[in-house]
Amino acid sequence: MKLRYDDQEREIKVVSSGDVLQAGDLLARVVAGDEDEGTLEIHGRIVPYAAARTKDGVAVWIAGRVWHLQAATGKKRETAGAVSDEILAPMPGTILKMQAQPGDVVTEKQPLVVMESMKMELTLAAPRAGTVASIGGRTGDLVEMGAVLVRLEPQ
Amino acid sequence: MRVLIANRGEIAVRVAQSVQQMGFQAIAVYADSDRGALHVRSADEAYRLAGATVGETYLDIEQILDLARVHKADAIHPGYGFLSENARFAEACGKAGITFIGPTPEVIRAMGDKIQAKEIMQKAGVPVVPGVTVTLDEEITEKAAGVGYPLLVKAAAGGGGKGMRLVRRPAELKEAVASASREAGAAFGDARVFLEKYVERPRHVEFQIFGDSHGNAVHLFERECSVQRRHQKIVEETPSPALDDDLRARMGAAAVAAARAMNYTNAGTVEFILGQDGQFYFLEVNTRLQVEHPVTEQLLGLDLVRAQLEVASGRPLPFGTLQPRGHALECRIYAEDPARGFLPSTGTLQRFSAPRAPFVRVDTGVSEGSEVTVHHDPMLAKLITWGADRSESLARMRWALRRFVVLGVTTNLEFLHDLISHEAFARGDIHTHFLEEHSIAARTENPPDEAWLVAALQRAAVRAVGATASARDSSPWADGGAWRLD
Repeated sequence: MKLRYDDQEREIKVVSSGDVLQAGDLLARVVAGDEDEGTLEIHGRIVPYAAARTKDGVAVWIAGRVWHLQAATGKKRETAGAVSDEILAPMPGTILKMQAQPGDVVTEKQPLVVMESMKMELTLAAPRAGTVASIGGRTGDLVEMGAVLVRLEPQ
Repeated sequence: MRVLIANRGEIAVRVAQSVQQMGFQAIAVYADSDRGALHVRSADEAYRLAGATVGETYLDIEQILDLARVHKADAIHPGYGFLSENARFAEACGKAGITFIGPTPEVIRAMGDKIQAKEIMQKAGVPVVPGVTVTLDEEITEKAAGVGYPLLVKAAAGGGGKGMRLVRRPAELKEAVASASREAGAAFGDARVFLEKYVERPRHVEFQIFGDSHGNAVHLFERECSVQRRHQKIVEETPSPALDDDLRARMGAAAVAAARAMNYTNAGTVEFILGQDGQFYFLEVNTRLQVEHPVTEQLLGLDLVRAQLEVASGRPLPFGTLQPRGHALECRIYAEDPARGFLPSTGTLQRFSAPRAPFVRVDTGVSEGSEVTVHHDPMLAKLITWGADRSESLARMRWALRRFVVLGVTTNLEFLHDLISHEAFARGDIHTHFLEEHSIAARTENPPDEAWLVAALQRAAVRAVGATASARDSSPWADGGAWRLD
């Protein structure tokens, strides 16, 4: 199967006997445990691990570090760098104040939305100057992480 | 004795432990979403609070008192947060003939009003920071100029960093006051704020105080809580690397003077800010047991919850000679993403495995399978280590942070590890803007081979379970067919 981390992609084979894993010339064997928790032997070295499924892949704990690897779906990741047209909810929570209306002309860094999550307030500002095309919620609405709160008209 | 614990999470678990160890009965209360929570399982009895929101459950004074009466509780421990600093609740307990484990309603009320608290301290000769009360509709610009920039906007009823804003320029003032006032109104039901002179690069050093109903008052040494994010503490330690014997004696005397000025009973904390010049100022009194009380317990070999119960039942302070030993450190493990501005992270705790070793203590209210939601504080656990000296407890903490496994939510475990490994932290050169001054860089190295392999193993099992409904019943290793993946 194919997995991805940032822009790296690797092909890993889970061999049919189940406890042998292969990636290129690398061979490993599960010596204890299961897919959630156990120890892996890699060329004579024993490595304890823990793993759990995430929305889009797997979180792996090894030696005090957690890695989030994604299942490669062939879909290209969005390229970073360009200024976004959108304000996304950075966390799940409630909209305390929606200060943008479609048609509003806004300046860069102008505060447009105040959110609350776990009793913390967070002010979200316009990513650039522009005109508000649409809003994705009203004061009092509960929104998911990643929800589009404000969309600006394309430049 | 039967003690009702009007709280949830790790502090409710912690209080139940001491109550039970004293031979008493611990009674938990819970909202529906906490039915299976650790604090419910830790108690001897647990009763349901009807209602959907926090306001309708853990903050509902009438409902909690009804449960206390019906189930014959002799005393109520409020923990921290929720009703712990609510004078009306303490008063209502008294009227119902139930002992409130904490200071008197009068003291809670006086200290809950930060403006009145300052006046009392000033009269008692405790140094205070210059400041002024404001409301939104008056000439705050002039008043702010009188205090001087930079200044802090703080909630009159505040605590825990809620309703607090730093203002460096006059242009930021009005928005900061409006926002702080709104946050304060939502968190405390009191939207009043005040402005206070801001001490640059200050340390936050607090003293644990304890008083009894026989007129005794002592301090139980300091806690250095300077390292904060979003004005909330994340690392606490005692002794403070900033205090020598002379400064400790002077600050301790001020803390005891504060306790005496209030006729303080039970556990409390006098918070100070300490300037780089060694000047210290009274900040506030927290009229409750603090989140970070374990470091004091580890330093002195004391059970503070037990002491609270003893003092509440009318006995004198149970401490004898206080003998600080070594160094104790606490890290707060949060479900949050340090790489994204410490934003809370929600989800199911698919793995939750705390390290075990001598001199490593874990206080937690969650367990594997617990849900971390937006409705409560995202603190998962407190990790506390003790060492013969600071470098030993730090080394022990680094070890423990590396062996704490949490999957299902993003945590600050790696961040805390890198933070306490920072050379400025190791030197003890810390202040409340440590994290702004020294950015703890997100780690950038790539996953090792084994991470890729384990991820593939987990994905393979996920697919196998999807393919055969009973895959969990048989050993996945025995069934080759479902495992072939290429």
